[in-house]
Amino acid sequence: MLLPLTVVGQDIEVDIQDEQLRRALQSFQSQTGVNLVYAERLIDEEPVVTCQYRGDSMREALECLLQGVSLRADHVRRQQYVLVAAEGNGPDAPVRAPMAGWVTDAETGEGLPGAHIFLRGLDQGAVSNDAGYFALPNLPAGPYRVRISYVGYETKDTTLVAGGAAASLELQPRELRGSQVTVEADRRDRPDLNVLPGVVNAPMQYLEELPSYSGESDLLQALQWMPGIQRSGELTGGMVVRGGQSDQNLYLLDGAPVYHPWHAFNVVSTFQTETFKNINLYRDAFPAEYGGRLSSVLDAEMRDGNRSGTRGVAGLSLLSGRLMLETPVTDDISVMISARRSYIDQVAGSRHPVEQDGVRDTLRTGYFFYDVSAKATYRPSANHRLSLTYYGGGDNLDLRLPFDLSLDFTSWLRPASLFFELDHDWGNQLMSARYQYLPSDRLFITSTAYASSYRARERALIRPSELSTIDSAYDIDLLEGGVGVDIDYFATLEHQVRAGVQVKRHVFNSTLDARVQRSPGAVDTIDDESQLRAVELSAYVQDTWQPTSRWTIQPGLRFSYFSSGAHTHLRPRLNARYAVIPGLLSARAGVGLHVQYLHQLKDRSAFLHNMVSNRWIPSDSDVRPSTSRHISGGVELYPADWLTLSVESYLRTASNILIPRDEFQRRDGLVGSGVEVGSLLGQYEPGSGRAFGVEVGAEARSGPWTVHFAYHGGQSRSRSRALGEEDFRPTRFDVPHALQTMVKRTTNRWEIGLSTELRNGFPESVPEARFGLGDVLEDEPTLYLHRPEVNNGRLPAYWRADLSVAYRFGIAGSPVKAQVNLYNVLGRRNIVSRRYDPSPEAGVAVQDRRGIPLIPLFELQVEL
Amino acid sequence: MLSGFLIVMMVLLAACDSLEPDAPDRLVAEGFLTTGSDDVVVKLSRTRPLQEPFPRDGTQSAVTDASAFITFNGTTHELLPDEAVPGRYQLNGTADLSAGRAFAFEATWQGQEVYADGALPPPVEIDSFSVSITEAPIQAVLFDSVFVDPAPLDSLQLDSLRTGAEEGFVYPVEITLWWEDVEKDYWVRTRLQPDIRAGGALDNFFLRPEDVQQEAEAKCPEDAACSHSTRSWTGVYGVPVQEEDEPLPAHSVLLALIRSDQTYAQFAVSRDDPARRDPVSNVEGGLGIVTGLALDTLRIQIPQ
Repeated sequence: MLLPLTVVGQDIEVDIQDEQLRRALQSFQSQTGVNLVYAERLIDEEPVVTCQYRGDSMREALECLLQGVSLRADHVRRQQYVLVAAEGNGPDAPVRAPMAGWVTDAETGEGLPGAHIFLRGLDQGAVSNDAGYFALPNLPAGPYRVRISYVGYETKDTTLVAGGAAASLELQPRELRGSQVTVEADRRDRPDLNVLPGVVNAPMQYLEELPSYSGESDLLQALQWMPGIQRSGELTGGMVVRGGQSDQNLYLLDGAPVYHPWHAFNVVSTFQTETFKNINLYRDAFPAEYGGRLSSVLDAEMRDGNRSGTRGVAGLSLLSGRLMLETPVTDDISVMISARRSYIDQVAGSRHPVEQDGVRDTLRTGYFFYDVSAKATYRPSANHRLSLTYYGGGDNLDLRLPFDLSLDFTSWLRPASLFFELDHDWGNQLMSARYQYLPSDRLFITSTAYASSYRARERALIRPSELSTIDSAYDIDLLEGGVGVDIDYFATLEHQVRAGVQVKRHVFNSTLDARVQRSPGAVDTIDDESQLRAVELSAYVQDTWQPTSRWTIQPGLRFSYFSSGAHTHLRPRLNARYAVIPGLLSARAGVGLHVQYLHQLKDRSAFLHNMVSNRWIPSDSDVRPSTSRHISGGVELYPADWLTLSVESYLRTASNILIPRDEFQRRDGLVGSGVEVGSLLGQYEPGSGRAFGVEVGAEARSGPWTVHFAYHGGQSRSRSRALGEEDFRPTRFDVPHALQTMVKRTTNRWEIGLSTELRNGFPESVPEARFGLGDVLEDEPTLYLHRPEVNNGRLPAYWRADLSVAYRFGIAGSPVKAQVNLYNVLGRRNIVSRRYDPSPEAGVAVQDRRGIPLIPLFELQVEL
Repeated sequence: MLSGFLIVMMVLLAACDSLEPDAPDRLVAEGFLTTGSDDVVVKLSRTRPLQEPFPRDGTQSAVTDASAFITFNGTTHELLPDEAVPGRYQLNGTADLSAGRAFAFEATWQGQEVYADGALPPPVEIDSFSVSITEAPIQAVLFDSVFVDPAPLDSLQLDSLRTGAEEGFVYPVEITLWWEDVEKDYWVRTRLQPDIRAGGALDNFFLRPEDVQQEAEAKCPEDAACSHSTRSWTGVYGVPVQEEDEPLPAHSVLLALIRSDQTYAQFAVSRDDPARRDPVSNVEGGLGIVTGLALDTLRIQIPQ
């Protein structure tokens, strides 16, 4: 039954006589659309009310409604008021106050970034920042019922006081193994409902559950189970996000970039899942605080170190052994140390002394990779936090072998007069210092300084005959140093502003020192050096605006200046989320412009160079920065507590990307074009790209079962008018359809998972005709297979299934997990490349190169 | 509703995998206009479907019914088909193919129009050469498949560990050419083309029987007495023998020196992998190459 209260347009008319307050408020809410928040106990004791009002002010109408009762209405934000007791309405009483706090892991004391703080009565929420801090300013002073939730942790209900000291909120990690899904009483506070488009923000224990090809914890391999993310090869190759290029991804480790996040020729990544406390992967729609790449940003934060006790994890897989320890040092200091190293060289041996006929030699077959990570965190008080991060990792390949290798070791395990030696090592090193300071409840300042380097050394000594020697030393040094400040200002309940400035300095050094003696009189010497410098300045401001409880809008603006070529760009970003049905369905959309000043190139003709290394060059006056525009949107649906569905589509165009001039170029030259950038750029032409697609994800968790489903459908095209291309053509890793599934059953002891990957084959250039063409020095024409277009065909579909079985047990009180992974359990030999040879008469003979057969892998992991 | 429609459209568009090979016959033009020569000859042929035989004599691919024209300094001449050689078109008479002359070639066939242009470079001449051969064969790698096609880790086929590389005995034949340049940005192609009946010549990764480079890069050895305009190149080919005391087989070798613009240089370096790629073409609307170059060859005998 409605009370005599009418709302027409902006006009409000209230005419109530001796009505119960509760009924009057309910009617007021339903007819005006205003959200009134109040404690039940406040209105239980109130008598009836009388009000006659006519006007256009909601506040005045409410004041009229509450006249004569000891309540007042405080405006919280648009269309929302809180009813509080009117006793505190004196001139000295704190009318408004912030509610602030830190959300931490109850077991380790780690701050939890991205935790969701939900004021249940207010229907208002906040998300903790990178340090786990949150603030809800301008709340009417008093106690509030608050629910704190974070995916992978037990939800916590508590009462916090606006105006009180910053609270410390500890969340207990949820045991995933064989657990039942907790049924939430109110799904509006689910944190996974509150992410903006394109963001993958999953707790590390969820990512650790996803299959890893190499049989050990690997963050980048886990991310490939997300829709729209794939590798640029069967087992190796960089990460391709939404049809972009592998050099368009920014990998950040505690704020410092990692330029080559791979080991073992891109088989495993440098990112060990268990060393991180949080990751955010932004696909296309990254907010204004990030820049410098076109496709994605992976922002990973290393564990601070356990504050409550010593904890460790040791693991042994077919590839490597690893150890991670974290412990408090004092009440204020905690550390985390992690190390990993492959050990095949230790088992098989890397040096092999041989002797024959009195001649001695030492053959070498050494290869290893390693990582060392360390982080120390110092917290002198709740308002100060200093962390120091170190990461060093690399690969080393050391070979000295004769040419006539075969599986018959006895035939070549002897002193070699003709041999090749390769001594390559490459890797990253970085140090990062981050100081976080909370000068007031509303202001959070993060200062970061870092130095990151990527170095590669490629040494080759080849002796193919008694009179010829090739001796080459190719070095790449890439250094980046940066300082920056980010400021979070919790302005109002509706606005959280983040702004920052960063200065980076890039140094690119390359040298090549080679002597190629093909015969005593045919000697080429190369002594090249390239030194490039650039300074990059960037500044941004972004606002996380929540005009209503349903809307989250994040506008942003990023300015950047790049000294090499004096490029400046102002790039707007806009992301938005709307809770269509709170707790059930949310819609997300994003639009933005990006710029990338660095380009990754390879010498595509040289056999001896860029075999293991990556070469980056800065934009300049000739090489324009790559730019892109993107728009994306989608919905996320929670039809049941155990089920999450998401659909997202995107469209992206890119300009000034570098496209190989000759897609068919083969590494058939010994030294290629050297290190001079101009020569290297001669192998590329500027072009444009476009990609669009749709991503469908589903995740179901019920009892011991986990089902993960990811589908990506889309196109990725490129075109270079400089190469005479009028039409867009498929890019090298264009995959129209990709489907990944994982089914896993987890009990207290056993864990059995089956994962599959089904996708189109990669594009390839298929001959369509043949023709004869002579040369001035040839008597007969050469018969060519004619490929009218690059990537005009496609390899057969790729399909693979992996099976993993794990058993958990305990040894001396330590949990142990023994796992066997069967990579390609059905042994399907997928076709990974194809060669066409013209037959003498007609047609072509097709020779397929097939992928990896079934490989059993194992891993043993012990928690210490 | 709109977003749903867009998503469905994207799925459908993604499914449209328009990568179905389908190519009609295309016109192929081949013409090397040589400075100082009298002949203007262009060969026209067409591509043929993969399923059809392709005799090397070109009888089934020759185009005999095309219209072809060549223009020198604004004057256009028709190229007439040679009745004796199908697909060969030649100028009726002689032309002035002196250095610096520009030309443009056009042909029309079955609705296809092709076009190419270029200019004739200055003449080039091998001034002198030297030959150096070891007294005895040396031990060397005969094949280098491990480098030419490194087995990627993706494959992991155990067979690929067998490199196929063998060791044997080889006479490395080192020949140095000298010539004079014209101080312009030309390219040179140098080639040693041995004619060995038994066993053939060794041409592997580490030898250098052929090279294409900018002429300015073909510098004289530091220890040689050269003028600033003297250019030099040293190439090496190998002659394999069975035994370490076996003499070098007598044979001849053709020394070739070609001066050209970048068009021919790109063609020359891209023509050696016919199963994988088309050579770089300068023929708009078609395939092949019609270019100007200067050529000098010299055949010498290598005694036993």
